[in-house]
Amino acid sequence: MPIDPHELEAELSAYLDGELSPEQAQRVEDWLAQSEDARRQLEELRAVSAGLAALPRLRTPTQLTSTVIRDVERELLVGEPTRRHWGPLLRLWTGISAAAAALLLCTFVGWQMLTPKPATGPITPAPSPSSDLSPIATKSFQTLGYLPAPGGGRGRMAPAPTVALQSEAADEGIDVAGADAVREDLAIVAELTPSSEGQVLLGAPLAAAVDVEQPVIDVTVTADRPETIAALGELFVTWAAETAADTADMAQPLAEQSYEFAISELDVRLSELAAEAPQQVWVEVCAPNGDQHAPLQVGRDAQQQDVQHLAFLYPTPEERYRSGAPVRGGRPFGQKAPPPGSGFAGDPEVAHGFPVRSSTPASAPAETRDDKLDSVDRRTPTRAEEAARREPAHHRGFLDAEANRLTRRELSERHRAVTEEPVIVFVDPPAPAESRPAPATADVRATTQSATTRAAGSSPTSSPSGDASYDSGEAATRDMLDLILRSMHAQRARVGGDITQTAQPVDEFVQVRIRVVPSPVADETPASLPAD
Amino acid sequence: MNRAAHEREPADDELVRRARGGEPSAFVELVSRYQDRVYNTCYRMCHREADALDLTQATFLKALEALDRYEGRASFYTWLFRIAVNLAISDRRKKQRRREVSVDAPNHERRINDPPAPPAAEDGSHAAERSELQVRLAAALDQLDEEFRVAVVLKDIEDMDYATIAEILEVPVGTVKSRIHRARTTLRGLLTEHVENEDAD
Repeated sequence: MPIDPHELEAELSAYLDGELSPEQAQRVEDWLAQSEDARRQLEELRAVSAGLAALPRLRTPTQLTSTVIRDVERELLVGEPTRRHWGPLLRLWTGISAAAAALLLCTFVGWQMLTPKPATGPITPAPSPSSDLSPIATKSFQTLGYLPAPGGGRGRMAPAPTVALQSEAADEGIDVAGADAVREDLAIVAELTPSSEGQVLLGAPLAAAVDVEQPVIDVTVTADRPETIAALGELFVTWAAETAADTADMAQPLAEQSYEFAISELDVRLSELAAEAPQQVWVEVCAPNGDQHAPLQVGRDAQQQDVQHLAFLYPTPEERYRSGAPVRGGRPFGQKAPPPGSGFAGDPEVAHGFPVRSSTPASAPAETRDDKLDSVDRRTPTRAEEAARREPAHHRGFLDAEANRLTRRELSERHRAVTEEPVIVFVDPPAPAESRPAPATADVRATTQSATTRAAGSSPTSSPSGDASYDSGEAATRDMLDLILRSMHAQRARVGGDITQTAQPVDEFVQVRIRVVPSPVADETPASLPAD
Repeated sequence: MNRAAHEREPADDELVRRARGGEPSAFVELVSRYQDRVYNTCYRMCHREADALDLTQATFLKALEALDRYEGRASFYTWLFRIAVNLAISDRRKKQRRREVSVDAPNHERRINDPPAPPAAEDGSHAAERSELQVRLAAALDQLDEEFRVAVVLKDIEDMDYATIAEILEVPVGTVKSRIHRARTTLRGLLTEHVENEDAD
C-alpha cells in the first residue's frame, strides 16, 4: 500500500490516543517502521501530551454548593432583567423559608419608602421582620432542605412567586402581606426600573407574576455539511457573548440555542448568519403564532445562484444614491429604526457592515402595507421609503429594465463590483408551494398573493418559481414581523397599563430560538434559479 | 470517565432525577462529584483561578436552572461539560473583545507563532505550575485558539475519548481528531521555538 506521509502525519495523534481502526493503526505503524522522522514526530507529540497530562490538577478551593445556592438567591433578588429560564430557580425560591420571605417583603417595602414616586395604591403595612435576620446566604442549606416537592406538572413557568410566597408563609403560620400587596410593591419596582417589556429589577419572577410571555420566533437553519453546522456553532457562541450572557442557554446544544434579540437587530443577526455560513443554508423563520413561515436563503453560494435577484437587491451605486437608499446596509426586517443609544444606531454601514436589501419593495400594494404598518409602527419613514412611495412605478421599472437588459454575467460582475460579501436572498422553501401553511390573516394573504402575482408577471425571463417565490418570501417575512409586533402590542395591552405602561420600552425584544438541522438530502440543496 | 469510583453510589441520572424531584441533597452530591473536574477544565481554559471559580459556579448555576430541560440524551457529565466549555469560550471571547477595544498597546497583536509570553505572576495566574517546563507549557496552551485548546484540554488533561469530546463540542469526531493534532503540533512548535530562542540568546 502506498504511503502518503502527509496523510499519515495527521493520524499520528489519533494513533497515540488509540483512536484509529486496526487497519489505520497498521498503516501508521508501517510508516513508523520506515521513517525516522515519523518516529521523532510521534515522540514529540507524546511528550506534549504527557506534559499536559502531568500539569497539576487544581481542586476547587471551597465547597461550591453553598456558593451556588447563594448565587441562586442573589440572582433571584437582584437578577438580570433578561433572565428567562427560571423553572427550578423559582421552585427553589418558593422554598425559601418564611423568614427569608419576610425579609424579602421588608426589602420591597424599604424600596417603596425610599422612592419619591407616589405609590399607585394604598400601601399595605409591612409585616414585622422576623427576628432571624441572618443573611439569606447562611440559610442556604436549610433553605434547600425546605424545597417542596414539585406538586403536579413540571411546566417551565413556575407558579407566580407572589402567590407561592403567600402560601408558603401561610403554611409556616406567619402573617405576611397578601399577594395583592406584593403585587403593588412589584408595580412600584417596575416603575422605578424601566426596561423592555416591563421586566424589572426582579426579572422573570415579575414576568411570571403578571403573566408576560415573550414572543418566541423559531428559526430553523438547514445545512447539509457538518462544517457548516460547526461554523454556525462558533457564531452562536459569539452571539452568546454579545447578548446578555444569560439569554443564551448554555445547557442546550449549540445547535439548539435561544437568544434574546431586539427586533431592530434581527436583520443584523441574520446577516451575520449569512456571513458565517461557509455555504448556502436555508433559514426558515416562524412567527410566534407558529403558522407564518418566512423562508430565507443565506450564505455565500446564494450570490451565484440568485444573481437576478441580486440585480434587484443591488441597484447600481448611482441608483442607490438617487433613491436615497443607504449605499450599504438597510433594514429589510421589521422596518424599525434602531433605538437611540442602541449599538446599532447611526451609520447603517457601520451598524451592519453588510449589504442587505434596503427599500420597501414596490411589490406590495402601498395601501395594504401602510395600513398594516401604521397599526404597529409609528417610525418616521426613511428617505429611501419616501422615495419608493412617491415613485414606486419608476423605481421598480428602472430595476426591472436593468435586470432584463443585462446578461447574467454582467449582473454577476456588477454585483461583485458592489460587494464581495455574502447576501440574504428571500426565496421559497424547498417544499412545494402548495404545502406551505396558509397565512394567518386575510390581509396577509392578500399581500402575499398580490406580491406573487405581480412579481411573476414582471419577470417573464426568469423561471416560473424564481422571482415569484422571491417576492412572496420577502412579503411573508415582513408579514411575519408585522405579526410579531402586533402580538407583542396585544400582549402588552392584555397585561394592562398598571405595570408595563409606566415602563418605557427601549426596544421590542423577542426570544429567537435557533435550531440547526442537517439537510435531509445532502446533495439537493435547492437552487431557486436554474443554472445557465 | 472514571465511573468506577461511583459504582456503589447512585448514578448521575438517578441523582438528576432526584434533584428534579425537589431533593436538594441530590444536586449537592452532583456538585461535589464534578466540581473539581469542571474547575480544573475551566482553569485550563481561562488560566486564572478566580475566573475559573466564577466559571465553575456559573456552570452549576446554569445546570441547576436548566435541570428541567436536561433530557438525558447525553450523559449528565457530557451535558455539564458542554455548559462549562461554552461558558468558558464565551467568557474568553467577551474578555478578548473588551481588550481589543480598550487596549491599543502594540504588543497586543500577538500571533500564534510568537514565543510564549513570560508568566505574569502578579495577576494570580500561572500559580499552579510547579516547574519551568510546566509554566511554559501552560503559557503555550493559553496561546492556542479556544477551539484547539478546548479539544486538547479535554483529551490530555481530562482524558476523555474522541467520541465524548465530539459530543461535548458538538463537532464530528474527525474534527476533534484534527483539532487535537493541530493543537499538539502547535504546542510543540511553540515550545521548541522558545528553546531555540534561548539558545540563540
